Order: sequence, then structure tokens, then C-alpha cells
Amino acid sequence: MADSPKTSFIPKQDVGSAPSNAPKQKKKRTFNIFNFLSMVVFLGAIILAVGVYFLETRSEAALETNKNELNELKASFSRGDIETLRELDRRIEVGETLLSQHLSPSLIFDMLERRTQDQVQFEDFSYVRNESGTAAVSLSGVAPRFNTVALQARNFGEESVFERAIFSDLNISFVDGTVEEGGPQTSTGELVSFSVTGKINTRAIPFTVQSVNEVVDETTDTESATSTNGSAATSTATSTQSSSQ
Amino acid sequence: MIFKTLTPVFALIVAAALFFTYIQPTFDHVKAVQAETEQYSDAVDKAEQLQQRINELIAARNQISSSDLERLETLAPDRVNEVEFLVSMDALADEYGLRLSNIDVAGGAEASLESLLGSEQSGSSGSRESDNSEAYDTLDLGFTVLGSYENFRAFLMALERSLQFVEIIELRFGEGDEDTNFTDYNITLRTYTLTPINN
Repeated sequence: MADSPKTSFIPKQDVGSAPSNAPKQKKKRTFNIFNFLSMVVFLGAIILAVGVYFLETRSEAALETNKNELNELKASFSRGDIETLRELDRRIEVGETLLSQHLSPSLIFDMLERRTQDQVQFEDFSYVRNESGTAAVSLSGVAPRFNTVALQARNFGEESVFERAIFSDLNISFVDGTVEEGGPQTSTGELVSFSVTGKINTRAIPFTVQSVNEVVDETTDTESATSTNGSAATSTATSTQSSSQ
Repeated sequence: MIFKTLTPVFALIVAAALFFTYIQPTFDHVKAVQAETEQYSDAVDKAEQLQQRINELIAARNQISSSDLERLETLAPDRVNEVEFLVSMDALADEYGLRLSNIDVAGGAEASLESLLGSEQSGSSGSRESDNSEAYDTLDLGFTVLGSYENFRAFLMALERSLQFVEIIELRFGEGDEDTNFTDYNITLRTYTLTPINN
């Protein structure tokens, strides 16, 4: 009985002590999503901060470069040149403005010489150009009869220099009958006096080199014609005198 | 265990602090700097264009002959010397056989005193009046010339073509003398000068 095998389910090892030949229990690694996200956010913030820092440095450098470039360009501007150009520009502009508004009143006389009836005599002339740039003419004259005045009014009416010519102050006067050579007085001593006021069409009397030259040419022609006629008349008179003698 | 729990919280707090105290303000600053850089860049472009334009204009100006520039300055001068101007008018009248008299500068002494007071207030000189958005000043001069009609016409055309720009604003005359055939022609001229540049 003493050597009978011991059969027992109870382990001989002390309770609480680890089995010597049992495999070691592996340490369990847990994945915490909160930890992970917080680390991602943290690292992201660090990377972003570094990126923003370099971006700021680069942007400020670019700004500084542009500022320097602008200052260099600014320094390269010559104030004297700019002032000279500004003054030249103003002078040209003013010159153009003045020339575009410039009128040739001598063209009015050219028109009067062409359009005045032979028997009409103007005694008074006024030309005024006002601030707005418009111009007006007033004339007073005498003619031997009403028909002549009417013809004169028609002549002026056909003329582009006058925008509107108004004939007024028509009066008949009688004189002592003394006839002046070349004058408008008739043999009966009747004389019609009148006034003309007219607004000038400024587009018809612009200053152009051509218009002035035309007037110069016409005046020269008229003067030469007058001198020719005068010399012819003189020679005729001389010949008449010599023949009468 | 506590350390392990606090680390992510601490990381989040640090990230948030970094974002709000550095990243966002710096980014705003960067945006402002970039906007300013863009403005400067535009300014640089415009300055380059301006420089190019100035160079072109200087080249164009250099092509204008000095005589033409002098003529332009005579056309629209900086100032008109009334005495010199009248002397030149007298010389011109003399050239065309006319006698100049009855000189009147912008209405005489009274007008000159008024204009003098005006000049103290506005800074303009003499009896000049500003016109055309103050691009130029004007000065009116009146005088009488005595002579024949033909000579007067020639004188009138010379005035119209005068390089010293004058505008005839008033012209009056009546019948001439029967013996000499001479007439008094009353003329009022307007001259123009550039107003000084006010920077």
C-alpha cells in the first residue's frame, strides 16, 4: 500500500507560482484612434507652422525685392525730363486749342469786297468776338435807292460768312444834290441809309495758312488789277487830253 | 497611465495654440504681404512702362528742331511782356505804313488795380484772366492804328499770322479822312500765356 501511485489532480506546485514551463503571455498592443488623431493633428500643426514660416520669409523677401526695384526705377526717373515733357505737352495742347479757335477776320473784308454792291457805301464797321467764341459784325451804310439795299441784303443772304444778316434802320434822306465822284448819291439827292447786323459763321472764317494765302493772292490780284485799271484810266485820260489839245 | 492619457490631449492643446497664436496670424500676414507684393509688382510694371514712355517721348522731343520749339514757345509763352509786345505791334504797324496810338492794356489803370488785388488773392499776375480750365491766361490789349485801308488789311493779315499768337476780339472803324483817305482802326487783341504748373 505504501508504494501505490499517487493519483491526484491537484498540482504539486504552489498555488500562485507561475508554471516554469508555461509559454510567456504576449503584451497586447492597443490602437487608440484618439491618440493617433491627436498626434496627426500635432504633427500637422508643426509642419504647417514651419511651412507658414518659410512662406512668410519668402513673401517678405519678394516684397522687399519689389520695393527695391520700384525705388530703383523711381530714382531713375529724371524729374527735369518729366517737367520738360509736361510743359511741352501743355504747350502743344494749348497751341492746338488756340489754333483751332483762331479766326481770320480779314476774310470778312474779303467777303465784303466781293459782295458789296457798286453803289453801296459802308460808313461804319464793327466786329466783336465774345467770350463764348462767337463773332458778330455790324455795319452802317448808304445806298442810292431801296432796290440797291434789297440787292445787298440778297447778296449777304447768299453768303456763308453770315449766319444771319439783319438789315434795319432804313431811312431816306435828301441831300443838297452835290454829286461826289464814285459816291452812291443819285442825281436827285436821295439817299437810303441802313444798318446791318449779322452773326458770323465762325466755320466760314477759320484761320488756315491756305485761307490766308488765298486772301493774300486775291488782294495782290486786286491791287495789281486796280493799278492796271488806274494806269489804263490815266493813259486814257492823257490820250483824251492830248487829242483834245 | 495618466501620462499616456494626457499626452494626446496635451498635443491637441499645443496644436490648437500653435494654430491660433502663430499659424493663422502668420498666414493672414502672408496674405497681406502677398497682396502688397502684387501691388508693388503692378507698380513696378507701370513704372517700367512709364520709363519706356518717357524714353519714347524724350526721343520724340529730341526730334523736334530747336527752331520749332522756339516757335512753339513764342506761340504760347510763359508770360507776355506788355511793353515788348506793344513795341513789336508798333514795329509791325510801322512796317505796314500805319501809325499806332491810344494804347490801352486791359481797360487801363483801374482794371490794373483790380487785377493787382486779384493777383494777391489768387496768385495770378497782372491783368490776366485764366481760361480753358486754367490751361492758359489771357491779356487784352487795345490800340488804334491810322492808315489806309489796303495797309490796314495787310496789317490785319500779319496779325492773324503772327507767331506771337493774338486773337482779334474787337475791331471798329468809321469813315476815313477825305483828303488823306486814312482811317482810325480801333483794335483789341487778346494774347495768351501758359499758366504755371501747380504740382
